[in-house]
Amino acid sequence: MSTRQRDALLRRLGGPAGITALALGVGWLAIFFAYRDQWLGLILALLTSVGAFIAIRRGDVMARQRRARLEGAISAAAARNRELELLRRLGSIMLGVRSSGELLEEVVQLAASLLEAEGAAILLVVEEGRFLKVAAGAGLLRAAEGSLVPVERSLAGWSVLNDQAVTSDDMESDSRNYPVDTLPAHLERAVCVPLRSSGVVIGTVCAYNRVDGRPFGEHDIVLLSALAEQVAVGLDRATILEETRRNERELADKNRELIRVTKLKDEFLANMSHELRTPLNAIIGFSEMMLMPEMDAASEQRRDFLESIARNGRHLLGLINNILDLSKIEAGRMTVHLTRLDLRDSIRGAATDTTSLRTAKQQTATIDVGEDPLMVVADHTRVRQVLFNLLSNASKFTPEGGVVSLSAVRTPVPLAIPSERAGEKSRLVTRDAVWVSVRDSGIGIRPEDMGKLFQVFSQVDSSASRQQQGTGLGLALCKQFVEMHGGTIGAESIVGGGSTFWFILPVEGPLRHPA
Amino acid sequence: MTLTIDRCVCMNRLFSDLLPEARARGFGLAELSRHTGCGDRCGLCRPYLRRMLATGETVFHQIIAENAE
Repeated sequence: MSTRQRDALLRRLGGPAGITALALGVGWLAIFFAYRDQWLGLILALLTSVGAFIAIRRGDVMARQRRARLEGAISAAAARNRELELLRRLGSIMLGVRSSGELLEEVVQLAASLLEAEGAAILLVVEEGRFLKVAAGAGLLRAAEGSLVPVERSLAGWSVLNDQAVTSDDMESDSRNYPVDTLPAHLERAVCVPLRSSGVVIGTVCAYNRVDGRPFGEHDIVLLSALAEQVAVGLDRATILEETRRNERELADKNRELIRVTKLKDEFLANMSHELRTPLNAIIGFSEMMLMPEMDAASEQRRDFLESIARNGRHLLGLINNILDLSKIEAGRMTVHLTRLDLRDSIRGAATDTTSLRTAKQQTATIDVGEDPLMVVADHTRVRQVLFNLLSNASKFTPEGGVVSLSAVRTPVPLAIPSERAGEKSRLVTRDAVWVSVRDSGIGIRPEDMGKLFQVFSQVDSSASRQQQGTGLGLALCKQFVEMHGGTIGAESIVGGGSTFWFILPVEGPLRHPA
Repeated sequence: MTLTIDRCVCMNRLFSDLLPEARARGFGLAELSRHTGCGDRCGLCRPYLRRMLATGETVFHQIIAENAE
């Protein structure tokens, strides 16, 4: 007989059935002895009663134990069922979710109810691995959303650094803990499980209880790990989805921009062919008229015609030069030749160049440039081009007898330094610069048209019957030239009250980022 | 062969095309110029346009100065 068999036999004999059988045997003996009128029968009958009592008590205890075991098994099965149900729900969340933020919110709620914890949080590694950010919080951790926790000196950080699950029953005395101020209650118990995405730890999922709450154990780690694994898959999926959506949006934006530019180019071509044809009409028409034999007599008219031919020829050349300049800039082949020059000379020179435009409309010009030289490092030709453009615009849009005012002053201004790396924002630095403005007393510009002033190919009025000729290239060119010098250009206007166009050139020329 | 002036040279528009347009829409010289651009560039055709609007002539055989009338 083996030890196990003997144990089983003993347990059976010690059980209620064994004791009952024994009591029965003793009972019969008691009857036997009682029959023979021996006192032993009485004693045995008493023993039988005692045995029966013990058997009943034993049976009672066993039944209670069995019921407790059964109840335990049933409630454990219910808990398993609940956990399985929650994990199943996690699967459907993963499939239905549209953004990673939404995913984290849902999952953290689920983590809290899965562990029946008072708080749960998902922390993601940020700031090049130095901090963890509470990306989502549930329960008591909801208030901590968005707060930063250092990776060093924190329980969650420890779990990230060691790529290992961790539990603590007394966080306060745990040297790895980092207290988050935004938390309302004293959390003492914690479990943290690392969150991995394609093998790299990207954060942790944590659950917390207060000191009177349930401590966390191995089973909680298993549950949370199962959750963490799924979250990583879901996060990857959400990231890809978001990226796809962003790409789609970018493509749509680019497409819209392309359509806009194409439309502008179409309009530009229509305007341009009109603008180029008109001076050619004049050149050809007047040349033909001069070739008529009858013209010899009228020498006065010959002179008018010749002047018209020359003027239109110059105008055509100007137009073509503008187009070439702009295409050169667009191709990135435009360069500036920087020298140190006095802007007062450029301003006076440009004013002289445009005198004929003003005298034709009886306009006057005022120049206020101060006593001191306004030295800047700039390209002489380009600066003159900008000034000429602004001045001829001013004359063009100012009625007869109007006034064009020119002024320039040296002043420190904040200027944008080009960024060192792509995608980085440019910084503003205060530099000495010269501010030049051209003010006219013309028709002004409506506020809704201000935005497209400096756009290529745009004219405030692009209708065929527009009053003012022009290609819509002048201001776009000015902007390009000024920006090539590291400056800025802008305009202010009151409808009916005239416009002011201004530009700023840095004294030391185009700014480079500091070495 | 005689001198023939029958168009705005800059815009290359025949007076005979401009006149019906001006008549149909009741244009004076200023409106005609704003609408078609003729007379607004070199300005040499302005006296001819003025004469055209006044008399209905569309072909001219003599030179008319700006301050002729």
